[in-house]
Amino acid sequence: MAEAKVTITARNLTRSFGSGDERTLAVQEVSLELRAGEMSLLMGPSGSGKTTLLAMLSGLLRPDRGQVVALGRDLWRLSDKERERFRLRHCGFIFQGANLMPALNARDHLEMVLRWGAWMPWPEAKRKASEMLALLGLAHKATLLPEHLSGGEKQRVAIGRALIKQPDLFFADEPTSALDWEHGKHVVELLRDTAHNGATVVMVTHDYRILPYADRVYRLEDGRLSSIDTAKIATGVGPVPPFLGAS
Amino acid sequence: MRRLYSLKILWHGRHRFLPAVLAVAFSAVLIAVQFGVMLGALAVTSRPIDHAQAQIWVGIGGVPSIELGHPIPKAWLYRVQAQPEVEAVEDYLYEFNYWHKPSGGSVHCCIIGARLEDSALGAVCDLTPEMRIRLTEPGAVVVDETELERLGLRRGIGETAEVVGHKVRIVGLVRGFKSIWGPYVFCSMQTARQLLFQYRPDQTQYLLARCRQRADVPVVVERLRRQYPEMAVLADDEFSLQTRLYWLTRTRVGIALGLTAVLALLVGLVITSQTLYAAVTASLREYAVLRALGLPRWRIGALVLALSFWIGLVGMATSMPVAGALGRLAGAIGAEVLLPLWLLAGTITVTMAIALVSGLLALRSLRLVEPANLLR
Repeated sequence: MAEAKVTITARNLTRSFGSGDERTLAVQEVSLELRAGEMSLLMGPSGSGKTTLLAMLSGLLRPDRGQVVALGRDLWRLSDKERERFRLRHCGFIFQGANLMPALNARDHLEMVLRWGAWMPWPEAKRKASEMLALLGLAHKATLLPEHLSGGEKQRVAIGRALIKQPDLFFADEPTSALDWEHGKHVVELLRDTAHNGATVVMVTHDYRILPYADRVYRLEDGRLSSIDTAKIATGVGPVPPFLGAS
Repeated sequence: MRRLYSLKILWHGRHRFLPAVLAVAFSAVLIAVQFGVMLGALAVTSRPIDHAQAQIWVGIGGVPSIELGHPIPKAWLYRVQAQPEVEAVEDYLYEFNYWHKPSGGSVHCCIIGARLEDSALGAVCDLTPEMRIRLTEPGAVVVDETELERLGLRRGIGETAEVVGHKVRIVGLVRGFKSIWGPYVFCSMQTARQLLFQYRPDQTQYLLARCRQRADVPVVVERLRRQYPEMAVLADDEFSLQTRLYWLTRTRVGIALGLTAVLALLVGLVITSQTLYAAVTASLREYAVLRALGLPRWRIGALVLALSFWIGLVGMATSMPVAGALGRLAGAIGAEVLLPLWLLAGTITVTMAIALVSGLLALRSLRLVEPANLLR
């Protein structure tokens, strides 16, 4: 089978925080390739630099050194406005918290991205938002405010908001950390389906229960890439990675 | 409404935005009432012009305001009379003198002497036919009922006082002439000439004229100005406005009221911008997600400006009835407050501008929106 298309290439990414004696290297000389149609996990202990790496890969945090080429564009050579347009067109994000606006209902959050991001007329944006909510199992919650949604439902709305513009690249930062496994599993399945429909999904997580769903796992330690595992983990065929604490 | 996210945010956060709405409303009420009080005070200065039938006022050249006239030759009357469009011309006195109170002490008063016939040009329309008849008696005067205390009188009608040694007697009371300088004292031309003895019989202070056709007034004014540059020739509305503007710009009354209005603007500006700033700061994470998704910063800025627009609108809607009620209340206790439509429109414009400038100031909080901060 042909190798999936590489959509993001990172070369020698390095990023530090602070200065002088306080300076810490969060990510050091990390190079990796991410592919369309795959869900990749960035894993590692707290402080290992995985979130910093995600921020650099997604065009949100400028690296001190190194290069990120996403969909053929050198992200950190683009101007701020060009990078903004790139994110608008190609990137979806979900974060640890859903970060929904308390005053807007579930459908508003999805509509807003289409109306303000893609200049879509309101009736069409409304229809597409309703379709997406139905896909997420939230059709009956479309008009509810975030305060009337459960944690899992809020996170699904956040995913819907990120998916509604059909991004090529999807970045998720601990999307299940605030959810019980039942809701978390649903979120992970949604992201895996998104990947298998052709998107590149990168997820930072601590949650080992997600491993069976991943196509590729990048492990970081002290800011360096320490191992790369492929789908064998998911099927249980391959060796259990050392960081799982093999039993 | 369903399409406007800003309205939804405003309604959902109505408790948070209430101080801003109240600040805008407070500013609007203060501005409207302050200027209303000022207009009310200024209106009194020109009321002898506004309530008279004269269409053209002729005085000494360069007279800036009605109370600053000087004696002019009565013979100028023929110059005005010679204009074919003019139907009637008469003399008019408006001068200050001392009113000696019956109980002792004196006060500066403003004596207005005019002819009293029904068709007379200088008598204010507030003088009833009965008053005009009584005013023909020597020494008879009419004053404003709210000025009695200043004039040292108690009940008014029938009471007497003195003006430079001449006895005067109150024969009637009018309303709406509470002056910001000395009290107005209305009387006949004959009485006025007694009380203002510095005017020689061949002198007057103003000449008043009426045209057969109102539309001819500008033509006559223009012609007289051209022919006689030593005369100030003014249409009634022009002289009225000039008198009010003089009081507004040359006296401290206007300056004091203007400064208060500026203060009201600043209070509204500070409170509204701070409330909006706090509201935006409280939602930074939500805005940061929109930024991460690539929505442009100006879009989020437009949302903040839309919020400030609605705050301004709600504030205005709240303030207008309050300003109207305060105006009526002030009227009931004797202070005249004028709230013409143009003043209300101006207040709305200025206050909406405050709300929008507040929104612009609050936009600086959007600089703190950094999507990378969401990744922690």
